[in-house]
Amino acid sequence: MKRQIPLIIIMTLGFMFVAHSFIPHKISADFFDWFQDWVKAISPFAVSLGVISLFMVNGTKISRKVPNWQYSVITLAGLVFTALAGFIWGTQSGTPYMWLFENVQMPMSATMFALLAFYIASAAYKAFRARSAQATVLLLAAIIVMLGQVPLGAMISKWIPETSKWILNVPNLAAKRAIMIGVGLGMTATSLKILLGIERTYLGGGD
Amino acid sequence: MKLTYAKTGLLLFLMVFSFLLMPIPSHAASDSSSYIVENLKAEDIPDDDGGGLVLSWKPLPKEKRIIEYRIYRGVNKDTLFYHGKVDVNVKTGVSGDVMYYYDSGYNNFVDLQSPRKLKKEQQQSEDSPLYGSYPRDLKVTGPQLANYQILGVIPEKDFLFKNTKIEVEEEDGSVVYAGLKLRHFSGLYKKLIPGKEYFYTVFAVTESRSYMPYAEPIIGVPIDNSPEKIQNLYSAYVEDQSIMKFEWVRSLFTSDQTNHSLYLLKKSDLTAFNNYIDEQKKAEIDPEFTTTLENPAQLIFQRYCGYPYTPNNTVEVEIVNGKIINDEKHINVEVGAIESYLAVFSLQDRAGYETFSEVSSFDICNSAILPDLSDVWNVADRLNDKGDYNVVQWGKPTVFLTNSTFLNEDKTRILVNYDVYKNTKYDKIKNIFFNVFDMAGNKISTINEFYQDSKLKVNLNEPSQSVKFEMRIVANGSTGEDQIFTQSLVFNDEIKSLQPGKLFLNGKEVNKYSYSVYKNNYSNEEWRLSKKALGSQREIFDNVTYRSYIYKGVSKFDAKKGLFLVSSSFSARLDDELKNPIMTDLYPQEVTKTLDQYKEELANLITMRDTTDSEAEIAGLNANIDAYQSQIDLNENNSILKKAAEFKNKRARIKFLEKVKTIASRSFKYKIVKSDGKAHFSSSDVYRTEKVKKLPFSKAARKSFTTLGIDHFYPMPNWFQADKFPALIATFIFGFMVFFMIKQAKKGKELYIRPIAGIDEIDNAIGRATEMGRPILFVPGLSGISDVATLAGLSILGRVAKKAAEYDTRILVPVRDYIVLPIAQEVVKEAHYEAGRPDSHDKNSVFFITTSQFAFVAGVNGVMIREKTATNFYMGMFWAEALIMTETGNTTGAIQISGTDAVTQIPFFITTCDYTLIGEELYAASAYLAREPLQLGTLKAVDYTKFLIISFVIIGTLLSTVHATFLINAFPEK
Amino acid sequence: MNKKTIKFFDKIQNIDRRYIYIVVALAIIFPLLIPFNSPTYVTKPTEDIYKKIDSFSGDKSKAVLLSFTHDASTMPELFPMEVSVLRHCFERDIKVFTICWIPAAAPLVDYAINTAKEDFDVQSGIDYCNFGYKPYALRLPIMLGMGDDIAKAVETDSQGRKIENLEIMQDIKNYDDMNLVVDFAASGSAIQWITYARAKFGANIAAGVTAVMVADNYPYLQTGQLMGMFRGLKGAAEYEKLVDVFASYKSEDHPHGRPFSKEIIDQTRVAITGDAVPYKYKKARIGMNAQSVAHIMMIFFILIGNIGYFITRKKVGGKHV
Repeated sequence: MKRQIPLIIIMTLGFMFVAHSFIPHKISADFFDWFQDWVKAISPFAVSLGVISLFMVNGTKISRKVPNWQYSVITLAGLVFTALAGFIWGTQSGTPYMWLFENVQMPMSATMFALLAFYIASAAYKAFRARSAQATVLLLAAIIVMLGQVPLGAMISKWIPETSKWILNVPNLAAKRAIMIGVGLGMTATSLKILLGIERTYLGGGD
Repeated sequence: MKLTYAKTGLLLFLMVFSFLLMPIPSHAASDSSSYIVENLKAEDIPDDDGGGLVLSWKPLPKEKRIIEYRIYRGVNKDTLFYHGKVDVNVKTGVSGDVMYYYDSGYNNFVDLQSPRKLKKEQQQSEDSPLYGSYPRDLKVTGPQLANYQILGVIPEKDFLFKNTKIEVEEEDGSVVYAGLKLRHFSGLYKKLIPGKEYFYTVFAVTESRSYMPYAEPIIGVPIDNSPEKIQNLYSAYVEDQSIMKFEWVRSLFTSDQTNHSLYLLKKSDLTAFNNYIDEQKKAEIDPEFTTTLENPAQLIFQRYCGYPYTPNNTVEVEIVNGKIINDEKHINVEVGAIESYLAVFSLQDRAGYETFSEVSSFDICNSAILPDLSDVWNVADRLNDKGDYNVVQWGKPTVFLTNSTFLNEDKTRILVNYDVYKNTKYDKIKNIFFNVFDMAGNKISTINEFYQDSKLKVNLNEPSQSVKFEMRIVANGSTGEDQIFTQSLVFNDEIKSLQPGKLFLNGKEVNKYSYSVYKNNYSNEEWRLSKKALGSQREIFDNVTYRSYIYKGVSKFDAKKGLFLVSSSFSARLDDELKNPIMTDLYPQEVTKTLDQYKEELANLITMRDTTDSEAEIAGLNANIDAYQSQIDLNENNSILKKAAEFKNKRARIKFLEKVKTIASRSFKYKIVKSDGKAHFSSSDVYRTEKVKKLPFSKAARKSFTTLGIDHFYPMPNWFQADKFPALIATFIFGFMVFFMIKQAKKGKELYIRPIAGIDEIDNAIGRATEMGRPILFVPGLSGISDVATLAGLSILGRVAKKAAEYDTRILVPVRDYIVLPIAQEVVKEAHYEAGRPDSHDKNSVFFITTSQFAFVAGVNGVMIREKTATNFYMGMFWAEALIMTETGNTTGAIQISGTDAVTQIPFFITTCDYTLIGEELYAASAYLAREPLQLGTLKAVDYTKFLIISFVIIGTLLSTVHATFLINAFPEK
Repeated sequence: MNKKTIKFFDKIQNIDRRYIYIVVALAIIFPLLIPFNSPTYVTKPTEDIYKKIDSFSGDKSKAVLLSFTHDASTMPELFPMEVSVLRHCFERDIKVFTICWIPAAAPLVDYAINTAKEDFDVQSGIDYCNFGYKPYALRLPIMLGMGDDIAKAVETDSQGRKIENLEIMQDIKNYDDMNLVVDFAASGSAIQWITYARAKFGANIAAGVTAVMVADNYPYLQTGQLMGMFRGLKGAAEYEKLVDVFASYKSEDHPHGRPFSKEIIDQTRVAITGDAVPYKYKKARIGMNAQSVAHIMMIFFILIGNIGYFITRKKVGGKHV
């Protein structure tokens, strides 16, 4: 029973939503709105799950004094502190919460994202070697696209940005669409498997 | 980094210390008086309905770092409620010397988000008169109803079904009201009462959110003025039809209008007319002033302004035998030679003030110059929708050029963009033929656009100042050979390129005229504008919303029951002449009570008439008697009210009335006006059809709508979205394939699946972690549970976790989505149970980090480095952060297996991971690992469907290469 | 080839990636500190957005919606786009709405509006309106709801005012009027707009994405489902230039800017050194300088790496390494 009830819910709702996408009728639209209201009502509860998990994991680390448990203290302190700042002073501009956001959250996130530039550089250095004929094509394409992206490319020859555009629009897109069609079908198949109860791993455990 | 107590302490200290760097309030408490705003004034807004005041004050200099100004309002000096705020940019301050705040029109009174209790404003002293906004508490808010004009907007269903009957004892006996809770209002809005005194104050808030002292409260009194003047009036006289045509530009603010009137003024009376206006203005400013002059202009037309809808701004007045006659409005005007007349338009408001437009003289013309409105047009229910749109369409499709770009430096190759306006009647365009001519008129080329991608490439022989295009459309339905569009591309020196000129259809300029579609239903007396379209447009979609509201004034409340009280009467529709509303009541007893009152009143009037001698009084009484008599007749004889009275069950009665109301407000008749904007217009008749569609209403409800379906159109919801037919077929084919292949697999047929290296290696990778005695990291993607990739990732997690449990290796699963968290926890737990190792399951192995994309990555990277994970799995949806994770994993020397359907991340995974599942391989992994017939069958079905799709792509490409576009057209466009 | 060279290339082959990091860092930092003039070539996807927005100029019955689905991390790339679009709208008297779907984006919206509005006499509720933060879970219902009635779907703006009462909402009802949606994101969030707002209601959709995500959106750009796209920092730089050259262009003949022309944009160079253009309006172009230098650096590295590869391969006797 523990398995069957969720499966019945999934199957019924799943097929109802499939039907919904073909039925524009008001009844169908109203059902969808009604369902969305439930989603709105349920999702806030999930936030508490996340916060509880965070406290449990880090709390255990602190109480057991596992190596580097001090990081957990900082994590929890940050969480509590930011939340309190928001609750006490509000989130308008000029409040401590906003100040934290602008001076801690923003620069730190930007730093993480900026790391990408370095990693891409090193990944590119490793990847683009003319090891074989195909690899050489890849290498040339990469250089043209990179040049096409910056003014220097257009200054060298106006064909560089044009070729870069062609590479992106034709071979690149062709491959991408092929993968996307596969992905689309894979998604449909997985959804169908879930609807029919063939795939049940996500309910916990194996088959 | 290894953390010690000292380092942790230092970090925490830095965190706290950094806070001290927050901008410290730059002012000292002692000089806070210099933060009081100066020159605070509240003045009446001109040209309004008496519901508006404008506040002005001198903004504080930008050195004071002000972030906002807060405004408070009340009806006495001691209690001022929060009303609104004006944000200010701290860095730049306010540029001007004066700041304005408009308190006008209806604004929010209370709603569900209002505070529960009345609170003193923050940072105020004990004796401060400032309070927060009006609370939901009716004990506080209720008495305030008297200080404003309050408008309650109530969803119709709530008004009809959620009301509570409340009897209130008033001076002339008990009165019944409908009581509604706050949550039943979609909005409660307040507006100032003309002539009433209101108190205002303003204070500044600094960057550190300190509330500065408030300015001394000031008084403002809103005054009702005459309406805003319209901008332009155009008048034309069509000689051969003896019709006067008027068109004007609507004014912006329409809330202060009741009537639209047109007057004829003899040119010789112009001075007298101006004197009359001057005198009226004086009387408006000074109520003591007595007027003596009469308006020399003669009224020839008058109607209700149509508020709150946008009314028709064109009017035709016919002259019959030298006279304009309208009995209902008591108009009887003799018209002489039209040259000696001027036209004037006026707006009247509820208070009786009248604003006249500038005078306009008649353009005397002939009907031949009026726009041609002979295009066939029709109104239909829009298909494939939930029943909230009607389509009004006319004419045949148009094609026009939109832009052009030079493709080479010689300026001999141009890319020309074009566009098409079509309607559902001619929705499939087969070909567009373009003939291109050079300046000398020689044909340069002919292009057949069989597939319309909105662009053409044209080769010119030499750079040209002008290129002419002749265009013809072939569509489904007969578009005719004779519809030739011409348009030129002319070199524009300013923007240095060829720009499209005016569009002509058979020599006539297309966009000289525009179409305005007007509509009217059973519950409004005036036609309203649905949409305006360009002369080249061919259809409009008219939104007929399902939502309908009841608007009620609110002035009473019941604090004990927490109810706002509104009148319980409502109108079901207008009568057949669209003159009088058919009024009824929520409570049947009230209907009878009202009728009895009418009868009593009628009897009184009759006695009064019989006893008086004065002829004037008798005439007045007779008019009143007629009005009462017609109300009584309406109540007793109207089919709707009669039917409603038959219901025994109250709810059934209201349900019936609701149905009638819905039909009345959602059924529209349409007409089109084609105009040049200057009174040269042609107006169509109301569209009628003979093919009456059956509408699923009960006979009783339909009975009073005799024209429904003939000229009134009610849009119906559809049960199937026809343009999704190909998708439906594809779904069935795919479903069938799945069942077929599963059956085959169950029969024991060997289904070949090509080996996927990444999946084959999963076991080895787990084994490696076991050998090294280090944990496994599994990231199930960053997106939510609704993403199928996450589900696929979780399926793989189940199998990996089971293997890991068998080998007794720790698995770490960081999660970014709250909802994925419990599911992943369950998956890992079940895996341990299934492997027979519940003891080794650590419930903290699946944990939440954060929802922030890059902070999550930082967390995952931290786990990799600290825990020295031997094997990393990334299965699911990833975005820009993917490389940061895998590159770190690469440096820590872990074996990495990734799988994603995020096409752009695949290259990053390939370069940094040892094995990558590309796109659909992620979805196949589950089946591959399970190796059971059900899963394998589905996988095989995907393969065959893919083959089918590829065949379609190839066939479609080949067909459209040879101009056969039917296959492309069979698929929906968007 | 002497031994020394071979040894050098051998080393280069297995260079510690941290050396690459430091070179990249320098290549980025210096151009940011010392701006120099370099040409900006405007590409079609950016140009299309510009032309679409420009076509709404002064039209009170048209509006643009800017949707923010990113946090501060991707601000360097996306923020200049947002500011330029807002600047364009303010310059041309175009109604503009903003909405955001993650809490961390709410301050960014304010920041962008405040940055752009400093130079213009515009008012919230009249010239622009910030719908504020709406939870992601409500994204779909709001997106679909706006197809019928924006005021009903969004209800209140960031200041808690009822949208339907605002002056800006006059003549703006649904996607027919708010005809262009520009979605700024570091993910594939524009696709949702395409599936719902475009497919169901025919709204025009444009995307502003980080360069990493550009490739994801290409298929939609090619099919026209996206009417235009800002392609990372480059797109932002292009738009900055477009606004400088047309919308903000002031002269006696054109007191309110001038209309778009492909020919003029190709010929015009806008100097970013000096004070002619405020820093906030040329951030992306300065950033593009850094990107150019970094790209060249990268190409150089790749070439060196490959030369080294060939030399060392020769040494080991043509065997594939």
